[in-house]
Amino acid sequence: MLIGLLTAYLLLHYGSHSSGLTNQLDHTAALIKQDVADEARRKQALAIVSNMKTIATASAKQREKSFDALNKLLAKREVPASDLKLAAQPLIAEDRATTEKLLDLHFQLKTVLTASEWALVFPGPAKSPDGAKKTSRLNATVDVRFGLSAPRRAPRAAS
Amino acid sequence: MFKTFLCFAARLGMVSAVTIAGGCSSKPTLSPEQQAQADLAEYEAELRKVITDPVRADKLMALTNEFQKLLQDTVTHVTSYRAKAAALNSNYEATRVEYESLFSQQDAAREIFVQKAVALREQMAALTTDAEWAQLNRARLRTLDADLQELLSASPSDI
Repeated sequence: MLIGLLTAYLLLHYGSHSSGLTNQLDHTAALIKQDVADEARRKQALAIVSNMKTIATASAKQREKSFDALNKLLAKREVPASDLKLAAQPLIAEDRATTEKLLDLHFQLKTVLTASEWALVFPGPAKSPDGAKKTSRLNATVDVRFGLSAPRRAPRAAS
Repeated sequence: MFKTFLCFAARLGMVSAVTIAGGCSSKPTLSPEQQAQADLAEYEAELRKVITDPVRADKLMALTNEFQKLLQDTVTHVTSYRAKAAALNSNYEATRVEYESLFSQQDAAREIFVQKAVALREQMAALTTDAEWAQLNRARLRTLDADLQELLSASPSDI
């Protein structure tokens, strides 16, 4: 039980920064196509998002290798904590390096889009319209809320 | 990592299938609290089959409960972190320093969470033999699986 759980737990932690910047890149691209009228800037913005995706994909492949090494250690019952920590170092370093590259591109994107376009492409968290909350089974007893925001703004269907 | 993730996803797929099948039967749907209790009871029964010594079984269940609490705390923390990251992403005026500050806070929290998880793993390993450890890794606590998967699949903009 614990190997799988701990692996997933570490996966959650060791990709925490870069995943925060790479989720929904396809959705972002769709909104750029929809909301950025100026063709030259739209192309520039889409190229940046495409670069972000390339970096995220390469990083995921690299992390897969590092996770394989960590998994092998986790399968051993008596592996010392220091060995696990050592095996996790490449994952932490990779996440940091990827995050730096993605942040560079994130801020590059800001130089291409206007503030009003940015607000449309990255609408941000908002309250759920129906106020419904989703309770996980794990947190059923402590009532931790997941559904704190509205669903993402969907791009308009192509006419 | 990806292989692990696939295995993890496959296991969860099985849970979904069971859930769907359950939904088609005449059994009443359990509340999240009832489901969490049922999952825990099922896991405890499996654990006590493997660890026949009641003293060690009790200790292992206590450690499992501690791990569950750690996951609850993680859910709360990661939800908050992702909401902050999503807010920064949507803020056109957000600076790189603000991102670095958020990442530093998360790094510190991650270190504490991972240390606790690894320490719990060490204690569990010390209470078991190699054969018991291998058998226990086949027993699963579905509540924890499902909630970890939820965290892994949720994007900041979904929160």
